[in-house]
Amino acid sequence: MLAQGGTAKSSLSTKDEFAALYDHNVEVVYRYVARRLGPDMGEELTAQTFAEAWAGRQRFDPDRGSARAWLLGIATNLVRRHYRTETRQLRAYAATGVDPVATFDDVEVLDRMVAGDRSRDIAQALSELPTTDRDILYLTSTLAMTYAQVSQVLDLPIGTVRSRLSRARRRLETRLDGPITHGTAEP
Amino acid sequence: MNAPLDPISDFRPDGYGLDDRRRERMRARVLDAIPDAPAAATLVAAPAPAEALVTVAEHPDPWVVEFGSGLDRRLDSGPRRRRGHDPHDSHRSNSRRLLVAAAVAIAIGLLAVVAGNSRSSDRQAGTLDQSSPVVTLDDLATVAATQPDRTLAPGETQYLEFTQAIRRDDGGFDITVDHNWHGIDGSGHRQTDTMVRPEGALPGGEIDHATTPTVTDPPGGAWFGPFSYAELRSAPTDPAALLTAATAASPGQPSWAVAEQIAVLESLATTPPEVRAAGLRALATLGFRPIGMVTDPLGHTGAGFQASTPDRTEILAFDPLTGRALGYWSGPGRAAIAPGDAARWAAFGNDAPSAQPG
Repeated sequence: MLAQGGTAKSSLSTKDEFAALYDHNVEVVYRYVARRLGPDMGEELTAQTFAEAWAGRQRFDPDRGSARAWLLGIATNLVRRHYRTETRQLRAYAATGVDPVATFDDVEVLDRMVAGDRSRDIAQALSELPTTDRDILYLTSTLAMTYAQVSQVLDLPIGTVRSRLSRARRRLETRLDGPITHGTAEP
Repeated sequence: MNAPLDPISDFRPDGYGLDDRRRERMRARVLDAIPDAPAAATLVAAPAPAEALVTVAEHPDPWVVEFGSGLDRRLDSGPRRRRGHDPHDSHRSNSRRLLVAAAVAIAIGLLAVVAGNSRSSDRQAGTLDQSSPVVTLDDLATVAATQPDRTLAPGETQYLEFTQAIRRDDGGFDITVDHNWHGIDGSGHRQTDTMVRPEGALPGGEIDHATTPTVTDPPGGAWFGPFSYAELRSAPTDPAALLTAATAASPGQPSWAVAEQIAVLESLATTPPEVRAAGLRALATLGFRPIGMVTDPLGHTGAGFQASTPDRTEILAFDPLTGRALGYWSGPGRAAIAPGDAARWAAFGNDAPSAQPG
């Protein structure tokens, strides 16, 4: 479930209010980016997301969606600039079982570095998805966003979100050789 | 056979969470760069809808918009090279444009006779030249309703292309093009191209091209617009009922999103003529007004219709001879496209099995 996205115009008018917006949303934005590109790029692009948000705060329209959806939209656009890098990393993960974006400063991560076949299959399937399908899959899965929330983030019609998610899930099912239960199921 | 619960949520899980050290470092980086007492942010009113058309002309892959009939003021955005299309396409496109322009002139004359006594609810020229003959959505619906019904033969596909361009910090654009070839049962292929158009480069001057592997969809694996291909055959033929169904398929969505869904429906070869006519009349109720001839990025020239809100401009193009949708353009309503802004357009090709990958 997407948490509250913060208040609207008042959140963006002063540094203190923007800081509150930052504190309320940074965890979600970082988690989304880091899951896709790793912790280092996660840090870099999360910082860029908020820098762009501050610079473009005049363009934020609370009537079109929550502040969190707006921030995730900025983050998604930044991630897309690294689409080919992300694809290369996923292919490497699938081929070797070693996640190239993992860092060595976390024992748990180190323990998980040699992945099982399932993670390698997932990495392969993700690497084959078009960028928008990949965006939708991550947003619905890792952040448990609804179709309507994803449509706000990506500025896409909800019907497009629904059909593309359906395609992406079928692709995953084919790769994983079995049906999957996805994080969000509401229409 | 395994049935994992949401496998993506277990992919790269909590180990990549945000630790305190990283959190503090990011917070300092973001907030230290902000002055303590900046000028209060002011929400700037968007330009009036009429000005928003400038956005189209400034866009990196502009639709050529001609006001009024505009047949003698046609512009050209330059030849384009698209994957999966014949290298002689640009020549053919130019020839086709001339043919279409001539045909449109004839069609307008015919429509004046056909629809001369009909009530054209969307015939509000606004800033257009009132003396120019303009094809309305009501006119197109009249034409569309008389077209032959058809379905795709087994193995025959329809090509749909969706493009998104996002402004980069350096002034260029990150461009993603989704190519789709699907048959009547929803099976088919998809592929995505990504590229960068440097600042100042013209269409065709993109660099860093990359293409995803071809994805094969099984039967039932694809549907576009508010309905699946099969559902199209029994879709409502009443404009209000069709709009209700399209809106129900996109709950809580703004009208421009519903319009895009209807536009996709209008593009499909297998949409029954009566449904296509209902969709055209439904679009008129969403505020789409005729703007004359437009040319899409694939070189298709057709009758253009625009609806604008303060933050979005939506343009649809239709073949004036058949009423079939050629594509749409959707972008910010602002005259300037800022970093992070996205504009999308779709170009609906005719059935082209030979253009499929593989």
